[in-house]
Amino acid sequence: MNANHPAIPVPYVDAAQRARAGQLGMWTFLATEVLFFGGLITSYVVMRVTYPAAFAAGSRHLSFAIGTTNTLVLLTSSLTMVWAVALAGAARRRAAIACLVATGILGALFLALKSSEYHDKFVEHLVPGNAFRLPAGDPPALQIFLFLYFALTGLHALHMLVGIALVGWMVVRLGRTPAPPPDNAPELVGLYWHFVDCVWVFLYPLLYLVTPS
Amino acid sequence: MNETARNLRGMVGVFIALAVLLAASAVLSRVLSGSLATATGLAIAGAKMILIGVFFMRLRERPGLIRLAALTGLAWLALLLVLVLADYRTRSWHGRPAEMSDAIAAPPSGNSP
Repeated sequence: MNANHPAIPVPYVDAAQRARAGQLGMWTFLATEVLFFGGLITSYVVMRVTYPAAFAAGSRHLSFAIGTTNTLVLLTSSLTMVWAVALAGAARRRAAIACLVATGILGALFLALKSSEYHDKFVEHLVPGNAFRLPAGDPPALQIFLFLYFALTGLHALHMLVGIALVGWMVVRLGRTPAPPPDNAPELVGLYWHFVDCVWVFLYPLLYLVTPS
Repeated sequence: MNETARNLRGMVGVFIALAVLLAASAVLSRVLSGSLATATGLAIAGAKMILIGVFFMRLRERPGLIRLAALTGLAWLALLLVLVLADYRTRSWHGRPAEMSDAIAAPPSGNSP
């Protein structure tokens, strides 16, 4: 306990310092996340300059409609998340909870659309491995594109699951009575959510919009 | 309360800009081709990332230290990409596995089992 601010735990002097420390910690974590995805992105770049025809062919096997819809779904979820953070900061708990629930639902919708695309790939035997069947007229390196597609979108989907769990935790936390002392936890969860959105913003052109050179 | 309402409305403007960029990206990918299409797609993704970072993640209001932390991940990723590509693009003597050709496979001769 802090003598001047009983609600602020040590080592923080006041709420503002605690908020800044939280922000710096989350941004540092997100920088490590950029490199977590960065390894796969680097593999993607090396393989794409090596097998350009296979990547253009692979992109044609993905659903442009699902990719574009999912991008819009995630951008919308970022809007509801930014509203939730602003409303939680203004102590409008019910409205903040409504926005968080909308964010979680949009996240689940994204995953549902992604699952349906995964399902199609399994049915079409386009999952790399023993059951893979190379479609006629496609280069064998198509498997490399599809491996990177599953690795990148799979890692991203894992982050979406964590994000949805964090949003659920925020809903429970904001719904508690008596109300917890206001802090910037919703803002930090929001930063994570927007980061996962940013990753998808890059995966969309890298996977769905590849054209032959 | 008024300030919150203004803030919420302002974020709708950012969202509309993001949606317009998405539409531009989707349409241009159908019109352009080759490296110009790739460059356009990535440039639009970069613009979206800047909008999300500056407004949704509020980097606009944050002190220099936080902005610096936000940029470090991208700086390291740029280093990784530049150094790895400098290696791969100049090392002409390493071969590709024969079964992973970029050329279209010849149609199978005879009936497959």
